[in-house]
Amino acid sequence: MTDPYKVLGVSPSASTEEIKNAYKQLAKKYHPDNYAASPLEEVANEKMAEVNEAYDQIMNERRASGDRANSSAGGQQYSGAAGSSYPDIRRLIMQNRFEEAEMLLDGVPVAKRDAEWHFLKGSVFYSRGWLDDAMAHFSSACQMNPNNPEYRAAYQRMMWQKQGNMGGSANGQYRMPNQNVGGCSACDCCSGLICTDCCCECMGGDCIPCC
Amino acid sequence: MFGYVRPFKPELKINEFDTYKGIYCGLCKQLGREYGQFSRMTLSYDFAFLAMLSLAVHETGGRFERQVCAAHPLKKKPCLCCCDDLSFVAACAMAMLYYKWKDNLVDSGFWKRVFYRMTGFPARRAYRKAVKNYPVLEEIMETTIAKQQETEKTLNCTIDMAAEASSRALALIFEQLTDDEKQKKVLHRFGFLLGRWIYLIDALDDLKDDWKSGSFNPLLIWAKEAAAGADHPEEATKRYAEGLINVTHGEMALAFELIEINRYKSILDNILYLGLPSVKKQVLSHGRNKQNDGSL
Repeated sequence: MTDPYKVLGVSPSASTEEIKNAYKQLAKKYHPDNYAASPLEEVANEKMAEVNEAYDQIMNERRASGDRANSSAGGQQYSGAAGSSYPDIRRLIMQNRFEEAEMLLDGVPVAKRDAEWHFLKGSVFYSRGWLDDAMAHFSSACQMNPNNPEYRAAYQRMMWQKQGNMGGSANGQYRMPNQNVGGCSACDCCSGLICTDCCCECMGGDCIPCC
Repeated sequence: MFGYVRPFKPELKINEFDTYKGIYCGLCKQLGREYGQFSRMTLSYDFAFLAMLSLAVHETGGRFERQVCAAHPLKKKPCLCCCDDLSFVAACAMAMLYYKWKDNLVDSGFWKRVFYRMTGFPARRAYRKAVKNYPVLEEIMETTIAKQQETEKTLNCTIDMAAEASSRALALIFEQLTDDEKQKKVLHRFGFLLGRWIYLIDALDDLKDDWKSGSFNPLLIWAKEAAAGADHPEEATKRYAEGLINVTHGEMALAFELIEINRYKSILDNILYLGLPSVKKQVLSHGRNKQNDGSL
């Protein structure tokens, strides 16, 4: 097996706190929610499992007799075939057989197309990368059935991305991981000092005399 | 490809910048070696990105050396030496050039068509050579060109339909970077979305001109239907396109995070998370952004 420390991207001498942080970052990155219904779901889940296993292994090694609680996060299962009005189509989509699924979907008469139909059609478009059409169908699904959390999640995720946000990963955190580890960067130190100075001045003292 | 995929220079470290430049120079030289001097003028940032990703996916290969070149005859600069990655990317560049040339031939008016016919000879010759080295490219390009021409003729062509052909071409090209089945899937999706991102950015960049001339532009078709009644139809179309580009970028980032990258991660991160948004901003605010120049 590969080195668990390498999987988490930390050195073997890292503190438990650092390992937890690294694990949290990765878990956020590969979280199943980010890849729900994506053709890359399987790959992401494998990565997640790998990260979980590495974390478990390190933690178990570190507290040889400790309990195994609070490991394996993100293992939530997404199964939805039950309760769907098109269980067979849903199953095809889950097996990544999108072309067959689309053929069946197109065979449904227009009058019978409900929220589930739009959601599934949207999922097919989504997997193909036709994001505009996908969004339109997710939106219809939500309008027809505003109470379904699955439809809402799919639509809201795309709306959120539309604002320029990016999945639980590095967006805006460019080069952040390195700065996090130390707990206090040069920037944090300075702003801390400035804060201290402001507080002192409020009370009549002065911590940094020049300003 | 049109040179939209580039790093955000102010945030690059100097050593990263040198590496990036070395790959860019290496690709330029590779083009000259394999496809003649004319091909070097067609070099763009997009293919430097592809070359870097190719190197990053492979654990080994690629050696840098200080060399001089025609553009910098006096000073030796770091430059990536000939390797398989460069050779493949150069072939891709020639294949895409041919694709673009074909596309222009169909899209333009009579005089421009005459011009393209006359200048097409070297492009065609380079393409022949590229597909001889990498036969898989021929298959990709032929289906792409046929598909593109077909969709542009379709009535009620949606944005997704219009973007499909060229996005798929990139998906299939990116797929070639690895032999691992799972990574192929990831790179396929990433390539598709990057191709889509480029297509949309290009459509947005051309919007103003196409609005006047009435040339084919998928955003224009959307605008005719959805933004016809709006106060500022052009502005509304721009906003809509921005949303689409953002969604595409978000999905692309998800795929990107699953690529197994062995080196140059920080530079690739820079391009993906800072470079692309900055290009989008430029295109939105200034319009035309077509720099394909070789100077960095």
